[in-house]
Amino acid sequence: MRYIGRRLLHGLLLLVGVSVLSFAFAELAPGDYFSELRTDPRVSAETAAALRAQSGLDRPLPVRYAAWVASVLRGDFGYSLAYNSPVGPLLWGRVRATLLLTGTATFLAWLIALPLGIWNATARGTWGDSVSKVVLSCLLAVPDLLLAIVFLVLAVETGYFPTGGMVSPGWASLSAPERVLDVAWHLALPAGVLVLGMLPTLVRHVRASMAEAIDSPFALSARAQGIPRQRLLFRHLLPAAANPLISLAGFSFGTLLSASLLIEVVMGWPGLGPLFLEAIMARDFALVLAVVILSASFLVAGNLLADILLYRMDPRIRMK
Amino acid sequence: MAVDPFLSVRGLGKSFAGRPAFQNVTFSLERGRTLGLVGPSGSGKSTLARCLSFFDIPTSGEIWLEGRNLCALNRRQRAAMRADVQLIFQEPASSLNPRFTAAQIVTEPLLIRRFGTAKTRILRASEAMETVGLPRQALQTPALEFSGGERQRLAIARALAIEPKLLILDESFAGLDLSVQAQVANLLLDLQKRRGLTYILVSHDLALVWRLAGEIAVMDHGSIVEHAAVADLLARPQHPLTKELLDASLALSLDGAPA
Repeated sequence: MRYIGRRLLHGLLLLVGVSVLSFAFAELAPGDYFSELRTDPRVSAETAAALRAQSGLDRPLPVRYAAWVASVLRGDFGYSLAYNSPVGPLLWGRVRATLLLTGTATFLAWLIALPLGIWNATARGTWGDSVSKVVLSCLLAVPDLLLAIVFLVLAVETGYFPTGGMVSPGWASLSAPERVLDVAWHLALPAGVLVLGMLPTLVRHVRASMAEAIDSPFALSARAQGIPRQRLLFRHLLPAAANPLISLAGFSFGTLLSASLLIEVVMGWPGLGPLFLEAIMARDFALVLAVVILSASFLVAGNLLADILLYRMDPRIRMK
Repeated sequence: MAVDPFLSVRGLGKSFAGRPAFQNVTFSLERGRTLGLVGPSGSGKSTLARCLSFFDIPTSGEIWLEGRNLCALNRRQRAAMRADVQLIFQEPASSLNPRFTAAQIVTEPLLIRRFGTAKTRILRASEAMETVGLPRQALQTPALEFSGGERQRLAIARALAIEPKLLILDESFAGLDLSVQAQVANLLLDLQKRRGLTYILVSHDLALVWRLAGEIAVMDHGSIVEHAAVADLLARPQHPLTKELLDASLALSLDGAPA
């Protein structure tokens, strides 16, 4: 318990650090949301200054930071100047869409990577393993964006898949199963790109840690005992291979909010990605900061989750 | 007609991708005896040990155990045969699953053979623990809390729990300090006397082997170059490699121990 408490405190400190640094960097960057107004001849310098003062941007940095923290604690996450609304309500729908996309993709990627990596580790040196290695290396070398574009071209050419959005027009009038199918249909391409992007890393890690477990002396001796394959896999090899994979799964969880941002923009998925990009372009600082902090929170939570799981799974960590 | 020997190996060979690890190995061994298998690293003795226990499948030749040709068995029969032939690896300390308790380790070979009930398995395990000189209370201790010598004993206890007939120890003494080596050696001799176990000891250390073995086979480049009773081998080594090994271990034992 003390271990978990310490890790929790550690994570919170990290988040505070991220927010302070983000504030400092935003301060260093020239200009703010109202900079554009100065180039507009219809708006006088006084008006621009008054707008800045009204939105609190002229207050000293520590004061703004304190106000922001208070707003986070209320669940507002600051005030978006571009949308003229607290950030919180703007985010939640987008977060849901992003999580639907990345959650599905991450789940599918692991679902494929685990058996594939295990099989690769047991089939080392065979042509099947070599083929899978070459294919995965190619996938690793192809940027996700290129994949996204290729998928989009295919969607346009064939017409089998939609080229953007999350639902079809008139979605609300569909029955419940039809709605689910419609979302899945829209989800297929962006999720496919993400799965293909995640797969090489995951498979390689699974293969490496499984190979290490298979070659470890105790697994050899378990095989010499004549322990059946299934029991060997589930009782001996998987627990032994689990540690690096748990860490990786924590990281997978941690990137749920950030992994798909670019893909969302390119493939027109109404998640955090397009919102984030607009906010950066408009220098809508509160919105940018909220996305940064949320992503960082997921990363911290993912690592914390992995640590707790490792602590529970591995007697050697508990003994320290 | 002569009675079949307990173990008879005929023209055994193993190749990896066309390269032989050892070839045309032929010897026999009577029940309750100990064969020392010595030779330099890379001479093929570990691979031979793995083939004898069917951890690796030999590519040629036959292994006859108590009048049965093990190479002709199907998978199921071979799985049953594994109970008769137990292999204890190099570095026994790391050959135990660190997540398991002593009880889980010793009972697992029994469990996979559906031996008895959970209760009788534990009973058998605690007997095996006692045989190797570990306290029964240690059954619930996780494997990684044992010392190196204790893990060695635990590995032997696991092999003994299913009452094998042939025990193959592949460099299992390497890395143990001398007093523990002596304890384990005495334990093996005692078990042999009481249960009529047959051992094959694989080692590069001739000095260790001749204390335990009745006969010694010397391997070089994948073949047995000399095979004789210990007394003969020590008195009249024939092969240059045997002389070399003998000189090396004599030099060590004369320098080291205070007699």
